[in-house]
This record gives sequence, structure tokens and C-alpha cells, in this order.
Amino acid sequence: MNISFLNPSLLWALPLALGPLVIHLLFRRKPKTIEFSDLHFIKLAAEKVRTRTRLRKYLLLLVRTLILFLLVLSFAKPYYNSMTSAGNKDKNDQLSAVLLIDVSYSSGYYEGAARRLDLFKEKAKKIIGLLPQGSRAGVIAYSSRVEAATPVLSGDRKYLAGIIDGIKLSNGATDIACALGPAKKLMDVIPSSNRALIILSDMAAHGFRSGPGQAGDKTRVVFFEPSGGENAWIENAAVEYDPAVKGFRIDTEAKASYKAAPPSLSASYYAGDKRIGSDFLNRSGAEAYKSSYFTGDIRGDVFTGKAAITPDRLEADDAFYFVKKKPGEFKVWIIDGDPKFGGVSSESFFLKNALPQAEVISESGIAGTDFSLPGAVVLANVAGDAPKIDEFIRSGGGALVFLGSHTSENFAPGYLPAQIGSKFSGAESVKWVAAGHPLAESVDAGAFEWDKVIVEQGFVLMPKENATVLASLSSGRAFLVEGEHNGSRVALCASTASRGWNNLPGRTLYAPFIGGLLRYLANADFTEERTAFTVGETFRKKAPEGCEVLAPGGAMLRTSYDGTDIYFSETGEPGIYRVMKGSREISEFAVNLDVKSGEGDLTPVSKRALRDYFSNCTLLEVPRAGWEKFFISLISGKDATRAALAVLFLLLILEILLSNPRPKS
Amino acid sequence: MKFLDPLTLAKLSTLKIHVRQVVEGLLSGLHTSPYKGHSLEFAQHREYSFGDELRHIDWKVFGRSDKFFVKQFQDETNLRAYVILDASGSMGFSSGKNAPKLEYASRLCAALSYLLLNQEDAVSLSAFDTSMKFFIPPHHQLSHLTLLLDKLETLTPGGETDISGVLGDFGRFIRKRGLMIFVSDLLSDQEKVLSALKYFRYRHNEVIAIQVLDPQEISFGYSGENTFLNLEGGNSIFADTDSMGDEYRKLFGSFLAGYKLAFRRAGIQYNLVTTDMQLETALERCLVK
Repeated sequence: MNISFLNPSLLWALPLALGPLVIHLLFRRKPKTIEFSDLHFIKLAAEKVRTRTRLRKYLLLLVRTLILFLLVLSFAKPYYNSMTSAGNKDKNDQLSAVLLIDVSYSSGYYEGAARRLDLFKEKAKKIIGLLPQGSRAGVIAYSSRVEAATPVLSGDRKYLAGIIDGIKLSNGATDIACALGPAKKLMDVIPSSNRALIILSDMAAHGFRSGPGQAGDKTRVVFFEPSGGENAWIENAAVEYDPAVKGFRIDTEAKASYKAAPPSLSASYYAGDKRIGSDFLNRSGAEAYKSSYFTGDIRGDVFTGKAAITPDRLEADDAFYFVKKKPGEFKVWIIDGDPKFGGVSSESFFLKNALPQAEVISESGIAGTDFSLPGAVVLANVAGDAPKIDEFIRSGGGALVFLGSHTSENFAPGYLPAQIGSKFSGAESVKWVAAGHPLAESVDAGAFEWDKVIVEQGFVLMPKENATVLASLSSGRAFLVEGEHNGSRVALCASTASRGWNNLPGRTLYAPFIGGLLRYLANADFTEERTAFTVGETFRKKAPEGCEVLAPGGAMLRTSYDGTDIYFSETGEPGIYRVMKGSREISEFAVNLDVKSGEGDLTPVSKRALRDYFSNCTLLEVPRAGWEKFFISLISGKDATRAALAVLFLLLILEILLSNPRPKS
Repeated sequence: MKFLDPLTLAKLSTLKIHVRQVVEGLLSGLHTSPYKGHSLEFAQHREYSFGDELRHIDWKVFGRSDKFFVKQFQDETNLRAYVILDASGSMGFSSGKNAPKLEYASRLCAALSYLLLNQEDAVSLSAFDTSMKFFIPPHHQLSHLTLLLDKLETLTPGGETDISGVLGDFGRFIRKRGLMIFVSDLLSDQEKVLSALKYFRYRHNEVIAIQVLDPQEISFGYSGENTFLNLEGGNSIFADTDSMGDEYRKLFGSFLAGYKLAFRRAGIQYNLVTTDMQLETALERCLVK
């Protein structure tokens, strides 16, 4: 039989058990001297009880010594194990153990020079080596999901060690509940009354949120003494564009779990990979640190970067990535189907006046143009369709189509909100009819004097289903129709963009109307495309098929496509992801750790909370130092503390009886 | 007078009658005088009682009064009381709460002597330890009391006890039958003590044995481990009183019971008094049956 102790360091107190003997020998009270008349009867009585008295005295001494001995032993928590190195012959009593290894990002915490996960793996391999013959074990690596697991329990130690070696750190948060069900299933396959769950984790409280733990009745749950740790992490970095300063404001919030919280944390800010500034996050409340940092002018339409605090022992949560687009800025491309060498005759002349920022290209220039979002294209009297335009629209861009002399019978791209019919001629006025349309306020009918717009030539438009007629001619035919193509907005005008067929370009309403219409079509003011994701979330976006995603690590990964949107689930790494179509970047998004799960707080779970979590199980805490010696006794042995306490209780009763002999009547 | 202060004397006054009755009782037991034919001084008449010898009837008184009276002679009307006091070392014991046994016994002897002398009985006083310390022959004058009290007041505890040896020697002091009042703690060989006292009973003396003890000697109310030092001899013994107290009480109780039974069988009046008793209570116990 092997006897081991959970708290062997307390065994130093065993010599205290000799206390009663020492006191008896050294501190005997000097007896009083009393004069008495006759010693005869005293002598007789003393002789008669001498043997009994002596026996009682020595027995009392022995009992008191044993009481102290057992008291020290109980505090040392003894365990005895009747299993031999050959294991237990009773198969039903052979040990079935599952090692649960925490691979959440908090296991990347450095203890000295080694990460906790590496220490867990080393310990796991040692545990496998210590298991008695005949034992079977499994391994489950978990974060907020099972990251890796052995399919069955195995007695092959090499195999198990190999599994352990292959375990990698994940960027997920911790929730041990995800691993308990699979662990129980593994152990249930082979009936055994000798079951143990061995948890290799930092035992932080955040990992025991969803409980209680279903580990199976009478299962020993073994965990190592938690080491805790101090950590600071960025909880959030909210970026907003401030048009007043033409720059961005970064509101950073960090948290820390320190024994002695510092008054501030140092933070740095990056645009891309370039450091643009730093400041201090000042303490706000019990745990939070906050600061607002103003960048200067950031070139480009999108501000991509990160906020970072000084790296500590857990580096993963020291940075927070963001992607923020400058609102309101959108690009316009005017595709002039009939440039006529420029001048007032060109389709684009008036459009360019209305949209000075627009880029004018010819139809042949479509292929070489990078269309980006937010943006819109104006097709002015183009002859044919270009697949790139369709692609641009599908990816979220807006489009305004003007017809003209170059419009062919075959011009019927799918994104048009109406079918184009035959030409018409005859002066007709225009009336705005979409009273409830978002543009209605910005295109005030009265102020714009629509009735002064005269259309002399145009095409008959037959609005498709779900299209909206924004303005109509006096004949009732549609003049301006709006529709949706793959979620993007497309408007079709029955006449030209130039003054060839109508007087719209010459009206004062033309420039503001065209500007407002294009802003609307480009969705520039209403773009709320999500750019922030947490690790493990699926990224989704309206984009054409065939897009790829450039991950932070440099890998180019494929996306899935469901007909309208692309999907991407391999967001396992925090950082900036770039959605590419070929060599063209069409979008970016940021992925961060799930810091709101509380993973950064490494405060260990309390023993009480742990007992509540594993209410049907026997909890066994193993000290970190010197655990190998008694580990096996612990997981497959029996707790002798209660037996020791029971004997101690009986000895206490005996001591009381011996100390107070019953007086004889 | 240390042992017979006015208060004590006042208390004793009520006991005189008891003493008289005791004496008369004793005298009736001693009524058959072994000294026939001796010239005895006439002392007084007393009324005839059934059993009195007819030759002692005073016929002249009968002739005058038509009532029968017998003559009493000097020896018959006065008792000789021999008070023997144990003054050995053990009698010096006191538990602290009460007077030492010797002092108490001395007071008891003084009171008895006073009572007896007060009714013209002759009182002798002697004290002993390993041997007789002194012997004062009996006298019946009350003035004899002064001598007795002086002796008692100067008495101190002595050496070891040899009751049987002393009593054996004492026999030569008793020429005539009388009353022997033996005052001691009787902490000696029980058989020898009984044998010695029975001898006096055998010689037709009335014997009263008064055992004087301190309450602590009976109750043994000690606790813890103590070393007991013998007042006689100086030897000592270590004892754990918590563990042997019960046994001591049992043994000592048997010892006292043994005396009680043996004295009763021997026809010796036995009284146990403790030093916490009031003197008059002790005397009453001894004298009133």
C-alpha cells in the first residue's frame, strides 16, 4: 500500500506530537508537601491503585501523542493507494482518465521563459508516463470549443504523447463546459468506477462560466494549484472620423487585473504598420483605463490600424485592430459613351461640372479602371454592357444610367431597373412622383422646378418588378426609375445626360440633384458595413464570386459564395484581413480576440465556485511543486483524511474519559 | 483557663445533668463492691431499688418512715474516672480549618474533668505518646481541676504512638474499678488497641473510647499529586490523590467501622468526634445514650 500526502510540507510538524511527552518529562509540577497524621492508609491506597494509575497515565500520554500525530497527518491530507505498479487486476477498477488541456489564448501567458501551454503539455506527458499499467487515457484540447481530441481512450503512451505534442495555442476564449461532455463520453465507453478528469489550465474564473459541469458522478476532478497572474488588455478601440479636424478619434479602453493597479497604461497607435502616435490610458474606475487619441489627416478613404499597450506576459490581448472608412467620401466614374472630343457636346461635360471629383473615362477605359467603394458609376450614352460594371454594382457600387444615341437595342444589362423600349419624341415636362423616397427631401419638387424640365427625346421605359419610378413625364411614362441589383442601387434615366435630348443639364437643379442622386446611389452616407469581427466569427459581404482573403499571417484563403455574398470563416487569428478580387482589394475587416469574455482576467476560480461547478464530483487540488510523488495515489487512491479524523475523534473521547475518571460512590 | 473559658463553662452547665446520669448509670454497674468487709464511710441514704442487698437496708429509717432506704458508702457514691489522653505526634494534625486534634481533645478532657469534679467524682488525668508522659492520681476536689488544666494547657504533641504498650503499663495505676475515658485518634494497630482496652473492661472497668479525628482524615479531600509527611516519624510518601482518594476513603471507612463493631462487641462505649464539632455536641454524643 502506498501512502501519499497532498500537503507533505506540513509533515514537518509531526515532532510536535511529542509535545505531551516533553511537557510530561520537563514540566512536571512539583508536588505539595502536606503533613499528615498517619501514612498507613495512604500507603495502602496508593499501592492498591498504583498499577491502574500508572497504566492510565501512560495511556493518556500515548493518546495525547496520537491525537497530535493524527491532527498533523490530517492536515497533510493522506491518500493511500492499494494499486501496485502492475495495476489493478479488476478491469472495472482500472483507471480511465481524460486530460483536459486549456489552449485558449490566455494559455499563451509566459511563466518565466515558457508559455503556460508548453508547461501544460510537458505536465500532460509526465502524467501519461505516471499512469499505472492498465490505465487508459484520452486528451482533449479546448478553448471555447474543442480544438483537438483523441477519439477513444488509449493505453498507448506514445500515441498520447504524440497527440499532446501536436496541440497548438488557439485564439479562442475559455469555456471548459465544451470539453466536459466529450470527456464524459470518452469515459463512458469503458465502464469503470475509477475515473479521473485531469485539468491542465490556469483555472481562471472566466473558464467556468457556463455550469454546472457535467463531468459524471463519482469522477475525480484533479486540478493543479492555480498560479493566477497579472495582465492588462485592450477591451476596445472605437474609431470615429471627426470632420472638424479631418482626422480620426480613437477611444481606447483597456482593463487590467493587477494586485496593485498602476495609475496609467502606455498605448501606441498604428496606421497600417506605421506607428503614428502614443499616449497614456488613465485609470477610470476600479479596473478600466481610458483615453481618446486624435490622429492627424489619414490619407486614403479607409483608416486601418491598431491600438496597442506595452506587451506584458500575455501578449495576445495587448493589441486591438480596427478598420474605419471615412464617411461621405465616394468616388464617381463617368463613363462617357460619346465624348465628342470633350466640350459642351460631350455626355460628360455637364456631369463633370456637377461632379468635379468624378473621373471621366471612355468605354474602352472600363477594363483598366479600379472601381472602389463607396462609389458610383455614371453610364452616359454607352453603347454596350461591361461585365466589370456589373461586378462593381454587385459589390455594392451604385450606378446611374443615361440613355442616348449610342444606346442599342441590345443594351439590356441585368442591373437596369427597367426594360428599354422604343424611342419617343415630343416635348414633355417632368414631375417628381416618389413622395416618400429618401431623396424627396433633398430634391424638393418646388425648389427644383421639375415642371420646367422639358424632355424632347427619350426611350420608353418599362419598369421591372420592384422598381420605383422616381420621376415621370407628363405623358405618364417613366422618366427616372430606380431599382436594386444585388442590393446595390441603380437608376435609369430615359433621356441623355447632355442637353441633346432635354434641358435638364441647364437647370439649376441639375448639379445638386445629380450630386444627391449619386450619393444616394453610392450609399455613401448610409454605409454601415461591418468591419469588426471577433475570432471565430464568419465574415460576410456582398461581393462577386471568386474573392479571396489575405489573412494577417500572409496566407491567401478562399471564400465561399452563396449567390450574393461571400463567406469567410477562417478568422482564427486577430489582425487585418483584406478581401481581394484578383489583385484588387475590395474590402478590409478587422478581427480581434473575444476580450469581452473576460479571458484577460487571470484571477483563479474560487474553491467554492469550483465545488459548486463540479458538485457531483470529488475535487482534488494538486500543489504545483513536487506533485509527481503522490499524483497516482491522488487520482486512483483513497482519501485517508476522514479515517484519520474519525480515529482522532475517538481518541479525543478516550482522552476525556481518561482525564476524568468516574468517581466511585 | 484556655480550655475552660466562661463561655465554655456556661455551655457545660447544661451537660451536668447528663454527666450525673451517666455516672449513676455507671455506678449502678459498679454497684457490687469487691471490697466487702472493709470499713466504709457512710455517705448517704438512697431509696431501695429491687436487687439491692437486704443487709444494706437501714432498718432504723424504715422504722421511722415505713419506707425502705439503703445505705450508701463513700466508695459507691463517688466514681473514679481515669482520663487518658493520646498526646502522640499524630494528635498534632490539623487540616488548617479546625483546631489540632490534641487541642480539641484537651478541651474535651478538660470539660469532662470539670463535669466529673463538679459532682465530686474523682478524676485522674494522664497523657502518653510512646510512653506515659504524666499521671495525675484521682482526686475529687474541684480545686484539683486547676492542676489538670495546667497540665492540659502545656501538653504538646510528642513522638510515635504506642497505645497498647502504654495501656499495658497504665494498668498498675488503677487500684480500684472505675471509669476509663480513653481519648485518642486510635491510629494504631487496631487489634492491639482493642486488646488493651478490652483488658480494662475485663477488669470490670467501664471504658469509654473517644476517637478524635480531623474531618480531612476521613474525607481526604486532597487533589493532585502530593507528598505526605508523617507527623510521627518524619517519613513521607508521594501519592496522586486524584487516583487513590477513593481507595483511601474506602480503607479508612472500613477501619472506623471495624472499631465500631469491635468496641460494641467488647462492651466499650465508642464515640467518634471530629474537630469541627462543637464541644457540647461532642460531649453530648459521648454522654447521652
